[in-house]
Amino acid sequence: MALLSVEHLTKHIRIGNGLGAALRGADPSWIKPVEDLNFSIDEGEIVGIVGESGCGKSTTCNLLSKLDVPTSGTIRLNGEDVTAVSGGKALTEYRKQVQLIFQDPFDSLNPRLRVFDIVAEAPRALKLWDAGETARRVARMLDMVGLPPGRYAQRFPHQMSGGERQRVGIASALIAEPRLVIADEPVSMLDVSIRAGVMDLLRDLSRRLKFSCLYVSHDLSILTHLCDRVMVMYLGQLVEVASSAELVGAPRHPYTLALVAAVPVPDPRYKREPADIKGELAKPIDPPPGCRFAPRCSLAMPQCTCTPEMKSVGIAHTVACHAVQGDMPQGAVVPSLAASGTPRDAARQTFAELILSRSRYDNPR
Amino acid sequence: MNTPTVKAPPPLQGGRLPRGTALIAREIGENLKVIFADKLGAFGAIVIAFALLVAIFGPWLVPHDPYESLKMANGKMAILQAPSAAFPLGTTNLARDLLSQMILATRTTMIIGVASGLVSIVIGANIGLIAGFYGGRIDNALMRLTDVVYGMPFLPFIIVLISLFGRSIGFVILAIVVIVWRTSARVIRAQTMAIKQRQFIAFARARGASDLRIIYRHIAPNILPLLLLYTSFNIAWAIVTEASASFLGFSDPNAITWGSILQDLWASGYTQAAWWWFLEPSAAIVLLVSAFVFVSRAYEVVANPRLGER
Amino acid sequence: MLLEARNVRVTYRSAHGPVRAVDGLDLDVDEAEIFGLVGESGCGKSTVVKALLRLLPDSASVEADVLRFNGEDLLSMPRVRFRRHVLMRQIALVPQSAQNSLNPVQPVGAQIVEGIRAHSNISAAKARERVVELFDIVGLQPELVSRYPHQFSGGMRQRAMIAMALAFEPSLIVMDEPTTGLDVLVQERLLGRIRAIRERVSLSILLITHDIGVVAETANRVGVMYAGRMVECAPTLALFCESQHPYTLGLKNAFPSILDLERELISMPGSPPDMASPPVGCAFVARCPFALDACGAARPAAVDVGVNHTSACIRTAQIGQMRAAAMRKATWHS
Repeated sequence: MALLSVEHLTKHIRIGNGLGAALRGADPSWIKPVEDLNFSIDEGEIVGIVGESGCGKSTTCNLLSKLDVPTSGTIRLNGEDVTAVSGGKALTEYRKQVQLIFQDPFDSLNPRLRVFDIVAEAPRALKLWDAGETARRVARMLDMVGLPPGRYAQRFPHQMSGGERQRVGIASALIAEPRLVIADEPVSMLDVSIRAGVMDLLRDLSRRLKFSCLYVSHDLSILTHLCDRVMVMYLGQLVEVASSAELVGAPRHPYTLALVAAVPVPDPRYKREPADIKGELAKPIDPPPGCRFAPRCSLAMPQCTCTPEMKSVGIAHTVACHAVQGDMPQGAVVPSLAASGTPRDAARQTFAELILSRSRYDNPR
Repeated sequence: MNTPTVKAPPPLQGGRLPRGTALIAREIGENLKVIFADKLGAFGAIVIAFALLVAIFGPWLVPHDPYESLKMANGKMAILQAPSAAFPLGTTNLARDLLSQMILATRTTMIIGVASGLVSIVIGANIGLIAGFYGGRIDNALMRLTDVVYGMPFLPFIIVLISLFGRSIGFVILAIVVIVWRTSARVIRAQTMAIKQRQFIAFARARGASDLRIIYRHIAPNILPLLLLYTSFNIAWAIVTEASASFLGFSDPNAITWGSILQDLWASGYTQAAWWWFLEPSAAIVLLVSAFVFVSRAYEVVANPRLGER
Repeated sequence: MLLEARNVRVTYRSAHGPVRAVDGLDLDVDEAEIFGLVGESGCGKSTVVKALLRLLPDSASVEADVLRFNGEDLLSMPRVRFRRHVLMRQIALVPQSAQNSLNPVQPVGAQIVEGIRAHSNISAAKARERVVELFDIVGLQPELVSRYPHQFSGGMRQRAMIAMALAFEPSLIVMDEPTTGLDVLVQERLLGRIRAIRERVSLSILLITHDIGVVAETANRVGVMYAGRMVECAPTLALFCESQHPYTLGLKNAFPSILDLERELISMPGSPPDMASPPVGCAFVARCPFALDACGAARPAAVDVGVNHTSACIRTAQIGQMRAAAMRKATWHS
């Protein structure tokens, strides 16, 4: 049984109109940051969500950590329906199992509290242990994240570097021994040379303390390094799910293809094809029905006004796209296209081939 | 994002936080540092300390009964005497010693001023915190209440109170509190709304903190500089308001305050002649109110950069 | 050589005493090249260019042995002449978070017109024509001239700022972290556009960033900064494939690449030195796994290690072994 499973998770926010529109009797606008998400996370997995700004990954984090309430859909933790949990004992129990690591190490720590109090916040708020036990565990947790308590417990956030603060954030999330940790871009505001250390820490602790991790980021390079599986979101919809290796090796959704093509690679010999994508990133306000990527997709077809189903295209590899045929035999590289050999089909073939067969270089140092 | 050069404080046993008195002592120490950093603030603090001492030890320092008509050394009544060795602050037209009156008045004024100021800040802060945090209907209700109070003018309100219930210091304090809490409530509400958006509040919520815990453990400490600023300001305002009330005769007739001393002066008609009688209570009011305002200003310097501190 | 700078030193006065933000930096930018200046936050890369353009506050002192642009000496140039002839006209700056410095209540085109007229006597009509031209160069539709900043996406705002920088046809444009904060697809488009601009309008670009992926594909030459000093400087290919400085090796270790998911990411322990007391020897000595005693004793000079390739390290002779060792995690975290 999966640790966490999400079905048809949706978040719609209604926003009022200006006076003029209201007088005209126009319909209100809707922001739809998350639309019909379906996925699950197993025990011990590190799963990533990748997407650009406005794709809904932060909203998803907030929905799963109960900082926000879904409009519709189901969230199940250990098989139990927790969608309606929003307060009281049930919420306390939920928070003991699901915790959140924040993105901004400079704003997510209360500047008036010392490290000890910040890390002890969860046990105190959730009334887990008495004072003595709490102190012991805080010290142990600080040790585990590489901040010796003797030197760090009494510091204020402004007396520490970004990397140290983020470690405090991690310690404060893990001290309650959650089963699922949601990490909302925890390293994006850190210096590059510190990121690897924090990511390693997260991975080590996930093995030692046995928790699953949902890691959300816009940086595909980081995600594919850290995560077993990666999910790609575009404008609130889940478009592709695959293992890290397969996502960069054999991406199938046109958006994923563009994304993988656009990732900068620290190797000047690598010449990549430009991403075949037009237009600008839209905001999820009153989005058109169906696949939200269609307006920018070079493979768009009339049936794209109907939201595509998630189809299996390989082992644990699913794609939501009408232009991709499902149920491919394992190992197939280029999608076999619909019969007639029209210019559109030819374009699809060339497009896929171009991206999939671009030359890759081994990276001698 | 570089290694900070600030040294960490020495570690405590087991990494635990010092509790109770040590914590309060540390907070007071830090606040005093803030006040004394600013020259005017330091001046204000000294004046307030002096007034506090007089207020506390007043009854033992008073040389004469303030209502007693006194005689001079040569046997005549000490009427309208200018400040001299026998009567350091002079006497009134009824031969009453002004030094005694001033000392007792300081005590009364400080009590009324500080009490009204503190009570009003407690009310204002809580209303501001709760309105700012919850928003929606609670916020609307509380803000409508504040608006109503904003509309209430001080004098007619106290006149009504007195006409209905008679004159007493309690009503003065009540009237002052009712008027003074409103400004701090608005400002603290605004600040609370700003802080609510900060990530560390979402952090606290994600860690399981209840609403009350978030308000008082996470938001309140961050508005502390603002709170202290307004406490000081409220006390200053309370003192002026009280002085006005008692000058106009709306206070307890048995209480001696600077305002009532001025009232006596004005009623006696000797305003022009007895310069000391006029100067002393006026100077006292100006000095003490300025002192509190200076201390407020010292906090303002802190309240603003602190908000942007990283 | 378009820009020549030798031994640039910038010192700030801070509450804790003087802080050396730039500590003896050498920098050369040639004509028609894209030079990538790479380093972590706090290494001084933004400070260097602000010092060049005299945009630092008066409390900062700027010294250099040589500071020449287009043959003219910048150090001794009087302020008025600098303002009128160099700033914005020969060297233009697109500052960090430029996209957020647009006035939200004024149309974008109008703001650029204002910028142009602030630096020259061109008539309003001519300025507006120029703006349309500039929008074309940066790939923005002409109708966007009258739109407001909130109607532009992040990438488009950045391009508008680049348009402003191009207004007077400078020979050198400095871009400070132009892609930070932009989504990957937008970033890719912007970098492509930057390359296209350089094809169309012959100029040099000094690109400052912390992202080595960005310089790998965009820059002709790269300079790596650490603690206010230039530690390695080389053509892009040489810098990546034949790195000659331990810090460069460490930097490369810390950047993930989708081409090589198996490679372990290695972080560099420690943090940059406190520039209130700049290190006597090599700045990297505290974090370098290959440091010898001699490294901390005297500051290493920049030695020639290849064609147009310098490295400030005294152990470049053993670079082969160092490269092999740097790939192992144990080397850095023992």
